[in-house]
Amino acid sequence: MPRHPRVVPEDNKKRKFDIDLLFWLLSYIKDKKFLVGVSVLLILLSAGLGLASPHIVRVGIDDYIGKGDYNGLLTLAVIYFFIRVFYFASQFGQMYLTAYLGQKIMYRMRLDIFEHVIKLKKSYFDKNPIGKIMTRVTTDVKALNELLTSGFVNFFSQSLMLMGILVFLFLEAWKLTLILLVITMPLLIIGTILFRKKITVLYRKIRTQIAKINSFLQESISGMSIIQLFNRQEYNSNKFMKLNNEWYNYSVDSMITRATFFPFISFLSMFAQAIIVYLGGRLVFENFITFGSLFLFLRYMRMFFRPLRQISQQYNILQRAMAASEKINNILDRKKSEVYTKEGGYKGELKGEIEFKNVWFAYEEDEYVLKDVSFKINVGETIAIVGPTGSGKTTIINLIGKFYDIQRGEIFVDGINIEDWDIQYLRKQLGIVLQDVFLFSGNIFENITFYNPDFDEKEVEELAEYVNADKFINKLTNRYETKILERGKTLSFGQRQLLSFTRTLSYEPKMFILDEATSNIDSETEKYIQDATEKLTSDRTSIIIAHRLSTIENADRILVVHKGEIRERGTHKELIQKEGLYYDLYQLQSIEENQPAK
Amino acid sequence: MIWDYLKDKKKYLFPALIFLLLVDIAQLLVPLMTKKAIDGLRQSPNMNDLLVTGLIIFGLAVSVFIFRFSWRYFLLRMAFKIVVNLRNKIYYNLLKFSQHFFGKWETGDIMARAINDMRAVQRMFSFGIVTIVDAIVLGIASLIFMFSFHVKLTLIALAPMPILIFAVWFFEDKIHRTFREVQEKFSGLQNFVQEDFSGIFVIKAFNRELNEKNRFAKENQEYVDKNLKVARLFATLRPFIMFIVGLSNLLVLYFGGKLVISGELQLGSFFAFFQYLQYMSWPMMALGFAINLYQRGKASLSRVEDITEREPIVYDRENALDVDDIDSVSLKVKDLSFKYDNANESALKNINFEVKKGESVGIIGRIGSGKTTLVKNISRLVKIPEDTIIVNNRDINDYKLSSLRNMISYVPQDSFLFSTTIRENIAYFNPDMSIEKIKKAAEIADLKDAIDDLPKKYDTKLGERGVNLSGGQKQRMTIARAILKDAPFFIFDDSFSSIDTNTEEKILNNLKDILKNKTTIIIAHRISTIKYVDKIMVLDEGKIVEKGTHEELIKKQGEYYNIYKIQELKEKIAKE
Repeated sequence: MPRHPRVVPEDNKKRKFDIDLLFWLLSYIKDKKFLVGVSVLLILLSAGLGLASPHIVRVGIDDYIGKGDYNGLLTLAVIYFFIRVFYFASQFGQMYLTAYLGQKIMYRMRLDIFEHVIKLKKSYFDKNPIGKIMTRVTTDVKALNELLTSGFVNFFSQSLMLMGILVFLFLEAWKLTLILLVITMPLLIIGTILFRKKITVLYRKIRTQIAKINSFLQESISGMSIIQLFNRQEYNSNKFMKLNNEWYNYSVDSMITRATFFPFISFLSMFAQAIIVYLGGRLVFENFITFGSLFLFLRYMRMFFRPLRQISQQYNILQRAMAASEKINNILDRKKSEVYTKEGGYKGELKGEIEFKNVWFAYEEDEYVLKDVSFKINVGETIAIVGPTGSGKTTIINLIGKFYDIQRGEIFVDGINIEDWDIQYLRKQLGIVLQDVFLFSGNIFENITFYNPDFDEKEVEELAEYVNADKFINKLTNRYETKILERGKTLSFGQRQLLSFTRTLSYEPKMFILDEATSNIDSETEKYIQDATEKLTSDRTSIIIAHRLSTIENADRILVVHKGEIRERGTHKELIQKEGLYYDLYQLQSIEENQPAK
Repeated sequence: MIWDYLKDKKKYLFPALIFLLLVDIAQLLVPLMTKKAIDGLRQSPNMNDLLVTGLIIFGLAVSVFIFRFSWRYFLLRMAFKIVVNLRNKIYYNLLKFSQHFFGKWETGDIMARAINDMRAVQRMFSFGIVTIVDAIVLGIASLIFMFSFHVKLTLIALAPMPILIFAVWFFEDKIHRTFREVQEKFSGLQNFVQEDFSGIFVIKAFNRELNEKNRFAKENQEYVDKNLKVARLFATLRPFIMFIVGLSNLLVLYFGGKLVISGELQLGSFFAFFQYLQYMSWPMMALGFAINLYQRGKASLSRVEDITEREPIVYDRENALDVDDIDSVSLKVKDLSFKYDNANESALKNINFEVKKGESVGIIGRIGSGKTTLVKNISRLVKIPEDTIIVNNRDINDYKLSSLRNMISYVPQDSFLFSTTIRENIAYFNPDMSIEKIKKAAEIADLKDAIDDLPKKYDTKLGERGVNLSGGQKQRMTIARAILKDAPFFIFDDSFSSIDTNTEEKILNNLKDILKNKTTIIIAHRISTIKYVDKIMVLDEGKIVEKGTHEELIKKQGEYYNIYKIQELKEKIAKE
């Protein structure tokens, strides 16, 4: 699915480092103490080995080259070689191990969040946009990963490096080091602070501008025919150019800032070199330090500026991670009992007696969708529920599966209050087929069995044959292996319904609950569905939200729902004679069905 | 292909190259100075000379700073210019494309090219050029200096370096590819989660929560594995680069050290060698890097050029005319059949009808019967056959597109509005329209009260937080927009579908005066919308199946009568 860029409002809230976050993160590495220990060791090792190399050269210059010791030089070279090999190995180990740890933690974290969310009640999903919930499992966890693997580790190893360099330099010649620090550090710090300030603002401007350009472009594509019909090409093209020019100006500004800062850093590094050559040279002359030390200074000074720059970048990573963990914790912290589907309760084989006693229900507070609804369905009966759109028919189905909690009244299943049932056990026995059949991206077989490995091909084929789904499946080139694309858009409405019948049947439901499709279905498929419906309703209690005349006429009893109330009830004959609401609905349906189907 | 974009940018390119060359020369002089200082210290120590050398290095530092700034300034400005021009060109071209293009290309695909591919192009023109030029100049200059010190040692020291070009090129590309796989897996994970949360009802109804968790665990693991693959590559590449550079250092240490001992090489040169090695390792890495930037940039550029170099399908033919009589419109449709590019069946089959000046026609029919396609044909949003649609006695293919469309006030089916102010949306045809006229149009479309209720009234920006127009209000905005255009030919494409019948009646009444002398086509799915038009056509599967006035068609008791009956019953039931 292509995702379109949008202007996302920036989250600019500054966050302090939260100690709870740290503990929460730590809870994920508790059982990985050994690996964490190893990776800390490796970080120490590679920082040490990285610092050792210039030192070797220094020893070479002073002790062997200066004294003309060929053999010593060879030994030193061999040592140097091994140091580089170990350096390579420890760096590889450290980088890979931290990535490995990070991935393991993220794996657990994602799984935990996913499991939590999927257990939440249906109403949670109605209230929160899917995209937002999804982000918690995916993008936000990613932001935390960045903090764990690159944030913490970089900060740790770079600080270590920095300290190591300073210690070495001070031991070598503390006066020279001090002079170097006093001259370059203030410049470096002031420069970095100024740069950070300016570039953050500019980057934000550029990002916003890019988002503006993108959304303007996207909007233009969507509204292209309007632009053309209203002859607005020139105006729009000018506007786009203006947006682009603004981007250009910001980009040039940011480029100037960067082109000042980074060369400034190298300038400082060269400046330090100039000082080392002059002052260090004097010290060599005065025999305070050796040529080797001079080399060491030149070398370490170059190494000094790099980690400093990287450390200053960690702040942003920390901010992003804080924001992400805040959101993740929001989703996890809810009181579980409030939102989870209840576990435990009566587990019995469903016979199929349903009773609503003065049920009132509202999705949103005080907007009642069902008002004082009472009815009773006996074991084995087939009930048709009819009524215009929005009358509350689907809600009745939702309540039988206890996907929502009612406000007033009682619902009994097999004479037991629905509150006392084990909900999962109850749902498993209800065969619910919704009007809008939801198919998952897998093949047909997987969609029928719902990834349940207990089924073999033959069983599924038999089930499909029973409800006539085999007719169209056999016409597909890959039959049961056919991939479902775009949530099943390639299948017709009727075909999807037949698939859903098979899926429901595979679960051997004790009841059959069907929300019939209103869409036009070709007459052949229509016939298959009708036949399958008759089979499915014949040996179990069935509730059908009916649109088809044949289904309605075949039902034992009919409930007519309108505006949240049951207006009429009885058999088809009785209700026709009454010439009330049902009579009108029936007539409407007759005309609609007589229109030639497409 | 790439030179085409650079050709007219010489005034940026050449200064940038000159400054780059100056930077490299100045940079390379630094080790030379260090060498001089050290050799001086060993042979004839002189504090003044040392100070001069230090000052020269400082001077070099300052000039490197200036030159570095300058080349970036010129080169990146050029890159930004190229990007801006290319993006403008994408937009400019899109404006010329017809529905054939937009029907075939997904918005996501176009956006991906305009955003992601443009990013790769930008990188190629900025960093790509920088890196490659920098690498070559710095590399060659370093070589010259090193050779001047000691040819053999240079060759020995640089022996491991070519491995770097290869390693960076190879690994970097592999990382890039694997990273793409990671991103694919990530969106796979996202799709999985999204799908499960969207289908939560089914999962709960079938009690499959635990099962889905296990399936998620599998996806999750695959994503982790791909990430670890990238981690392995990363963990190899960087330490490996350090290793190779270390190897060169080692060679200089050992062989150079020996040369210093034997007096063949001065200690200063030995120092300088280490610094040049540092310089050399960058161009080698950069070359590998630049090759990849170039390859990716080129691939992306060709995807962008797929848009910028494409010719529109619907365009003004040579000597296209303006419509002569712009005040009134007569329309004749002769044997019009039309098929969409990717469809099996024709959307319109042999359509024939005529609308005289000032007449109104209503079109009714099921979804997919061809109503919208018909009006799209009439406004040439698609390429239409010759001599099938005649406006004011001339094939509309002969007219300039702008002239033809100036004649039409069109209310589209999807009530598309732009995310700008209400005022600009209503005055979309002419932004300079006076507020009085805008208000008048809003009044006719029965929007006046709704807009007056908003805190910022006509300056309210649509799409902002807290601004929620109802579907009906949006639809009325598009009607107001068309009213303000006030063209002689009005087309309403199902423009009252979200408006309740009372408001509809009010608006139709308000429109009466305006439409009196205009030619009008009204597409509707409600009888009430088209009750008063001069004639009604019923469309089904791309054909006109019934034609006549409301009374005639009712009497006929055919398709139209059925629609009428259904609507009557629905209204009755709603009232019960």
